[in-house]
Amino acid sequence: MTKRTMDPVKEYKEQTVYVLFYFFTVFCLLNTIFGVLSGSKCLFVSGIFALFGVLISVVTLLRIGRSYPGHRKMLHFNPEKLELIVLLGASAIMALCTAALFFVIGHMAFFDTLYPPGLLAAWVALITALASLGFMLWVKYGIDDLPEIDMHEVSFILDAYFLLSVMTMVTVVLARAGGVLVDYACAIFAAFFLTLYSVKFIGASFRGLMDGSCDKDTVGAVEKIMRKVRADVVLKELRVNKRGHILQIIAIIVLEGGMPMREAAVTVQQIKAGFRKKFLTPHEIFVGITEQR
Amino acid sequence: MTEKPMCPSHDLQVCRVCSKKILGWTVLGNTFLAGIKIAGGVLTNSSGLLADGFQSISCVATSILIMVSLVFSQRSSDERFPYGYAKIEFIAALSAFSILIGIGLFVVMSNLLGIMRRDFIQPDIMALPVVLVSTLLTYMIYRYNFCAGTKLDSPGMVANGCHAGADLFSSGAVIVAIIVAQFGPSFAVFDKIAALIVGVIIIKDSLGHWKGNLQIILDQVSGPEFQRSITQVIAATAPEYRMVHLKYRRVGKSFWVGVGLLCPVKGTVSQNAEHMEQFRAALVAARPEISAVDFFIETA
Repeated sequence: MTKRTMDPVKEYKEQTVYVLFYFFTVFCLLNTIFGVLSGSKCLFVSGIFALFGVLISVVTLLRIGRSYPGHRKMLHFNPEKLELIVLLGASAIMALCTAALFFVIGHMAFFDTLYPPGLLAAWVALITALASLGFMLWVKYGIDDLPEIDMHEVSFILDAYFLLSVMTMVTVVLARAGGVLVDYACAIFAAFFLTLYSVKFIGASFRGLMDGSCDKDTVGAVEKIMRKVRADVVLKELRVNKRGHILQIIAIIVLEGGMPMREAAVTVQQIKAGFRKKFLTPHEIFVGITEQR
Repeated sequence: MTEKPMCPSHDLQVCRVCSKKILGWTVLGNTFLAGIKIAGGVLTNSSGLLADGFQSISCVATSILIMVSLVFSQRSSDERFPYGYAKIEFIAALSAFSILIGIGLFVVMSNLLGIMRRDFIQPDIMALPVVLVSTLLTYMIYRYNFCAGTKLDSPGMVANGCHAGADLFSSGAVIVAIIVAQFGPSFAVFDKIAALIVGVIIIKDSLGHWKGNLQIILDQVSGPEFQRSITQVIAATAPEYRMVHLKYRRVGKSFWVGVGLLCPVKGTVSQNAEHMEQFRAALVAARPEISAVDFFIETA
């Protein structure tokens, strides 16, 4: 039986994402379990936050698989929509759970007996903070270019995770010194923040499923580069959408009706080649022509 | 499910006005039903009626979701959504069916656990009039939503109708359970068995619609013959052009396609534009599901 040869670039990308996946999964379990055992609400909520990292890793693995179809049959649907549905579903569930957590912890703070968290929570939070710091540095300096992963999002999650862990350590110390409510207050704040963060993902995936246009800055940047490449070209329509990690640019340009098609084809070629040189974000560009009336 | 329409009108404008009223009445009706079912369930110890009441709450939530999506789906395309808002109804319908499947699973699991724990409570006969009144109201909600949904070809209203239909099934099961349970305490188990069967029916009915809406959101085409037929139309209309690639996405129930063409370098832009119009007309005639086409110039 012949061994299927793996694409080394794909293998590197998958291994990198798996490392992130395992990190977030392990610390999610660690923080939630020890949060329950030690009674630290803040540690428990930070464990839930790690699920965002798990979600992004799963979506990125789907994207990498899609970018390297290999022996797979041709799909008869747009696979980036599947990633968005996974993101939408998971984010909706997370938003409901974190909103419920917000009310449950609030109820506990006002109506149940208050008790400080165990010191174990501080030790677990310290390990988590150090691990997050290590991963933050690795993501920033140790990873080659990975267009399939949204590095800003991963960095943001790691930064926030580090801050949540530090906050947990501080709340444990303060709670054990007499300020028991600090743990509850910080957990409520963190749960509220998580709910808002889930809503952000819901909005982004909803916009993607609706084939919404990119933000004004991106569209403006695309238009600017187009003008730099060919300042004389009249743009009738410009559509910029995200398809997973790839930007899809559709430009309909206006040309004189009497222009020979040979010249028109050269114009289109120049626009596409010039764009590929100047626009470094992964993209696919399609140019259509319409006659000037 | 095929049902006779609730009114003989086929005027779409009349149906649109009616559908807005139906949704408003559906929200009010389901809120009232949720209230009487939950109160009735608590007072008469009927777990089936109580579960039915919670399902009515989910009906309220999905009706509001569908109402909002219908308002947006009428909007034409703009800068933010250049392919229009028609898909929003399918996303709302998918969410509604996901909630319904979740409810079905919850009903199945909770009643299975109840049967395993032998947690049987004999419901009071006074629960019966509450269920009968709610069944009548639910039937009206179901019929009107289905009528509007099928006439307007609206997946959102069909989803709403299905939700009410599922509510009908569960109410029917509760009626049977209450009547049978009156024969003695040993028959109280029928309350849970009926609810279990209802849960399975809800899941089964919802899965088909869920899959249909998912296929539309994923921009699924019928298969390789979709691309093949477009290539054949272009080759038949002007053989000097060659299709290089095909992009597509759903715009509601129809498709937008982007066709990458390898164009001949002879002729002018004006002549090329004429060919594009011919292609457009031929494609729309050959594949009526295509509503918008863009052609892109590719170079060898």
